[in-house]
Amino acid sequence: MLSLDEIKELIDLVAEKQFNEFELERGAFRLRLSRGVRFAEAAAPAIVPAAPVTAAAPAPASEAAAPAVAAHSSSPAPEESLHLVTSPIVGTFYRAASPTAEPFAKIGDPVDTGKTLCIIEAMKLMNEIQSDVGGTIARIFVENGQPVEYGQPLFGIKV
Amino acid sequence: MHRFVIHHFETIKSTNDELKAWVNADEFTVITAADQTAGRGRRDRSWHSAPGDGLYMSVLLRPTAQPESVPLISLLTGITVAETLMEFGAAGIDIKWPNDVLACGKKISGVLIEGASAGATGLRLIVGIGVNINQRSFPDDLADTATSLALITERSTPVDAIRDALLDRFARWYDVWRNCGGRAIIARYCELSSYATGKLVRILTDSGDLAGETCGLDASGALQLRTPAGEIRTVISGEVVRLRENED
Repeated sequence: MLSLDEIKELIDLVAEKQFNEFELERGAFRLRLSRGVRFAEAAAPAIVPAAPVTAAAPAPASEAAAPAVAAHSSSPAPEESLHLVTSPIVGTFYRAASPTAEPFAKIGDPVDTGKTLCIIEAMKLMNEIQSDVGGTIARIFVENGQPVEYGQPLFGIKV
Repeated sequence: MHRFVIHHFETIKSTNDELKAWVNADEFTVITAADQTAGRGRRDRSWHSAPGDGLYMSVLLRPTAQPESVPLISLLTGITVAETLMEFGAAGIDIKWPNDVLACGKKISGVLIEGASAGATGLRLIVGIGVNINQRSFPDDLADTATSLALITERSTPVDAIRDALLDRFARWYDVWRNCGGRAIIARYCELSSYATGKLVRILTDSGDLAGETCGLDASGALQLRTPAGEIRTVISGEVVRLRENED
């Protein structure tokens, strides 16, 4: 968990560097900042059955938000242009090779076909899921360490 | 019988990493190494490879069965290793779900299976198997939890003999899986593993722990756990830790 001052500093930094989106994850704490103008583009496709995974930012972040940068919890809304990467098996979703490693893919990352996006583990069988298209990661639908079902959307890629 | 084509290296970073890079290799291509400089386990944990004393091997599979039955390969690999070690005289063999093989309560073998697929087609599986064979001692941090075939049987065994016997058994169990489905695999697994039923365990996962008593495997091989509240939970992944009777 970050202090209010740390969150303010982050917002300033994100605004200064003109990032469209910024995501920070530390254990159970997750903070996502994105510019208001990107909000509609980053909304979830309507067909996703699972709850959106981006956690609500803590209340202090909203109070401290600069005009150009708003912290928000994203909510499902129609989105037609995203290509969905789905899970081929039932298992546990991991965004990185180990608990301390960098995620394979973050929102905003450009990806090529064949790029590893995540691992789905079932009974110590670590299944690397690769992108079947080139594009930009627009949505990540599942939290690290959560179970996923066959066919469940994992990533939304803007082609 | 399948024709395994074995490529041996004296020193390699990791047999799994090497085989993963051979994207066009045929099914049943095998890489072995006398020494691994960066052997890996689940969630990128390191695997201690004593040069020349262990079997460090990866086998490439290209299964074409339904994706939901593929994780059973994880269990059949554990069965294969357990039976092979018993064939070579190891006593006290057990399998900790899903496929750590124990001898007299200590780890003698670990398995890491890595799959790569784009969509649901063209699955490549790298079955990595490490077996402690002729080690007479382990580093301090492993001494309480690791053992070897030599420590159990009090004699040395040629690593190649284990490799050949293991591949032979692996091929047979792989054929059982391809031709007969999972029932025989789960039945044999439950005979060999004391963890399958009646064991008090804690499951460690990235998203929290869960304690309970094991109560069998479902048809996919997932562990069934009865929680203290009497609820049955299906465990698909996680590190299983045995609890003593008086722990909760």
